Amino acid sequence: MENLVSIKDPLKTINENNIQYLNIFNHPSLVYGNTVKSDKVDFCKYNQEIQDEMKACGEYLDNAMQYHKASTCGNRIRFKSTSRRLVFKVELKRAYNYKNMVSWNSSGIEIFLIDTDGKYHNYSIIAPKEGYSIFAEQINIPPNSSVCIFLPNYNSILDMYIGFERGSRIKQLPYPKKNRKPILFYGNSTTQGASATKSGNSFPNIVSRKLNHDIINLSMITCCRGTQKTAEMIGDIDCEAIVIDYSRYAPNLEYLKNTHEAFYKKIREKHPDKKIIIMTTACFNNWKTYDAYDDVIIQTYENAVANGENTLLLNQKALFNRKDYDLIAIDIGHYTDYGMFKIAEKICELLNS
Amino acid sequence: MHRTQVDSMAYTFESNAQQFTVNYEVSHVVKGYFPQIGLTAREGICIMYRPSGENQWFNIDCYTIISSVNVNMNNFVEKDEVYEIMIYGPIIGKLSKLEIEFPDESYAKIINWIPDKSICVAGGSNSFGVGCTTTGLMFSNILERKLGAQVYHITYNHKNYLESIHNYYKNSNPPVCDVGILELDHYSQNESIVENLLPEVISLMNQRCKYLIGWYSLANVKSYKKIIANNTIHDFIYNNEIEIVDLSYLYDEKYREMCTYNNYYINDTGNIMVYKELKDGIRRITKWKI
Repeated sequence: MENLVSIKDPLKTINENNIQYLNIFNHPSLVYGNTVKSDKVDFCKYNQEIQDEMKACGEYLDNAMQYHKASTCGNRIRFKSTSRRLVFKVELKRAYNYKNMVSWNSSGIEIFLIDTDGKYHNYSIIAPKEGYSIFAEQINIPPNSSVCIFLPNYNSILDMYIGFERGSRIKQLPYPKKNRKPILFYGNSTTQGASATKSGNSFPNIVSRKLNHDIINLSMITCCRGTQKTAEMIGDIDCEAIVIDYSRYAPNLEYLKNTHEAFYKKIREKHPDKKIIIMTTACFNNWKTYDAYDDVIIQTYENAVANGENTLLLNQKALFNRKDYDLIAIDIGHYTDYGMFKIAEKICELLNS
Repeated sequence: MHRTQVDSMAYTFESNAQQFTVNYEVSHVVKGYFPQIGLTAREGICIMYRPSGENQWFNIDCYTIISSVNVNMNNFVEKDEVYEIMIYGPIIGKLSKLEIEFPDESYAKIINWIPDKSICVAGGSNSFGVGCTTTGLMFSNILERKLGAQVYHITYNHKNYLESIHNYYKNSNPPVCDVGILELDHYSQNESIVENLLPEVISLMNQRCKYLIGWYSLANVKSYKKIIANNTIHDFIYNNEIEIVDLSYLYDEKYREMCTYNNYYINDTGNIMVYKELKDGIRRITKWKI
């Protein structure tokens, strides 16, 4: 790995002869998981109305929105190539780690190869040394590889080039036809990916791999407040199914009561037939407040079922044995990979049910 | 980097305070490229609690950068309810100050455990905690709190760690324990070190431990190292002087995404799996009811 001052710097230890670079931002057809469709890649998934809504909630939420709005959680770069070598040149927004994460998650770029059966095999993972945000790295891959790259869960990409051997072919790698409508995830810091150990191991990303299905992960630390504008935006996205993990970021029980069902109903209004999975709180340390939160969430679910809607409940606590509570999350509810895989498996089961 | 402390990595007390403040300082933080170690595991603390009389520990949170932390226990326990707190220091830094402030009217007492079980964990980077997001997820610390055992660490984060374990056992006063747990090899250790020193390390550990478990977790690309290790200690295995636990399956297709980073390091879930397998191994050989 080379740490760079500028992404334009020539590389010293990685041989760039015979390498031709592709600016990822100019190739939106290779990048998955965004809400904005245009001729340039835009990692910001939230429209101006939602940003303004957060601004109206105060400085804390506004700052979080502005800092994380282009976080690349759930974003993937996919292609098929005859190149046997890939050179990555990346400029990230943030050079430092988060407290409850390893940098192979927060700033990690995880590379998977996909076999002819559509199965994913983790191949390599790269992240810069702490204190550096611009770096280059190369990997060798078998020729004619189908590649899926999971981007950092807690960082934004300001600039990114992938170098291929000159003369090699690069093709788009769309999902199978029936899996192209994305599954939407809306949630909190855990749904964004904390505290998996690799960027590919957030539960939305695991679901994407297990089902070989496109996803959009709209989750964001701090800003998951179940607002009406967010519900409207979700309602406007053509999707396969929706997973709502809105709970603990409601600042108090009253707020959750006032927003949870209203949020769900607004989405349901625009997606009358889509499968919607509602998740209870991920709380594994007996934090007393959150039992009442679950009551509110379960009520939303029961009302939906009574109304004959295509809605399912994922009770997160019920999935785990109490004696494992200190192992499935690193704090109140930020899952270890064990927890992430268990949740992902359950979501896949519910989606297939 | 090494850890040859003869006491636990955890600090414990009990109290009924509805809130307390932890003042701490971390020094000697090793700078380097550690994309597989969490920031709090590197230079912070991890706090857990359990209601008095309960076996199960629960995470509260982890902290770093700020050196004074207020912990509100009223989220978890009732007024006047007594609970226990466990604080872990960092993996690659030194907890140089740990001070707890309680409200005047509250009760607090340091717990000096006298566990009836003792375990000595000796090994390389996996045993050292490299790969963990928090210190609480090191397999050795999980063993300690789940089994209620005193765990001693003789662990090193360098490739030829068996040399250091050998030196330690030859030249220091190693702890006497019920169970020794030895990481037999690691992906980067020189094979000659294993061939030359592993038998003697096992003999030395057997002098201080009633039972000995050897384990490894080696990816397929390094599977020849398993053969070397097993051949080297064949007589010990044959004579039941060591129980072998092979965790190389963590690198197999079924587990590698969840339990490892790459061909070299296990992650948090890898540590959980190591804990579970070692616990089974300990139960088998000691007949403890755990």
